[in-house]
Amino acid sequence: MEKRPYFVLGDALANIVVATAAIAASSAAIGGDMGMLPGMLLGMLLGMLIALIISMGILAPMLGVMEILTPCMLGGMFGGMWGGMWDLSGGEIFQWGAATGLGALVFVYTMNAVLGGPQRLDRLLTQAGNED
Amino acid sequence: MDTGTQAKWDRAARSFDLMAANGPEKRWRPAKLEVFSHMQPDARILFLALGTGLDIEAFPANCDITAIDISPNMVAKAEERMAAYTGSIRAEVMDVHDMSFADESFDQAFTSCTFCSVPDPVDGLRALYRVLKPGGELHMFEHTGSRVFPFSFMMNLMSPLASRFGPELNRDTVANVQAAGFELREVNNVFLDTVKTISAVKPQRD
Repeated sequence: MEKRPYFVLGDALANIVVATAAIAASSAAIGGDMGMLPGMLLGMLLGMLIALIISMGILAPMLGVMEILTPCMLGGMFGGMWGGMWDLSGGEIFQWGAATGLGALVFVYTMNAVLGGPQRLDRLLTQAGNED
Repeated sequence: MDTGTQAKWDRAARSFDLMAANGPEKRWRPAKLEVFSHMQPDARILFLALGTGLDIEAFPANCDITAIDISPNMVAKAEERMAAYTGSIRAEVMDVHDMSFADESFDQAFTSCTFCSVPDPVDGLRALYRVLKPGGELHMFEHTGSRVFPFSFMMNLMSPLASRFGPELNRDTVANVQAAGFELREVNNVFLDTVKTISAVKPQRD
């Protein structure tokens, strides 16, 4: 579990910014005009693309690669979906962006706590065998 | 020599430290220190891929290390860090698929974010197996794909784009290590199941 303040605060800020940018972009580009399902799918792809560009192009050198890319992509994916389905105002975009970004981060931190640490080799051997 | 891979990493050498030296290296340094703490001063050690030498600061002192990298530009950038190391590091431009070392030359092999980028990872790991002595140790710090949704979905979606500029994001390196003939000793997830340390050994002869 990441406990260093620089990274915890950086993660939080980065995820809010990325999710807000994803919602803003997909809301401006799609904004519910296409109908619920196509808007959601297109917004999801647009949100992930924006998250990839911001997290790899700007944030990764400061905050790490996988640790910033993973939650930001998740926040971007959901943020893009919201913006694709609904036409949101400026204040709503920020509120949804903050909630989505922090929600994605909390999910990733929780999953990290669940998945982290030493792995049972017998389980890994079984999984690897099943994939052959 | 895989010239396409070499050209890709030669290009990446220009901005590699800008991308990796600060945030990523600080995130991963504690786990890398643990991996490299297995380096033994009396062992013949192979390290791949050297890159710009960012990992050298995490090496224990006074080890005898042979390092390879496919990119001459990366090796050139690593020279200052190699010179500052208190032990011995010799660097060679070499493709892991086509290493010129004799069979069973090394006691230990270490990798750091390497097998996300080696074009044929099982073939590359078999080459490592060849140059390790029986009982030789393989210690890896690698980022891999995920087996957990939604991370697996995202990694699979991003990997084709990411691999054009750098590494693949959806490799199953644990399975690849086993497929190359190594015996797993320890797998430790550092971040989710996408960044991990792996320890394995080349089995002793019967």
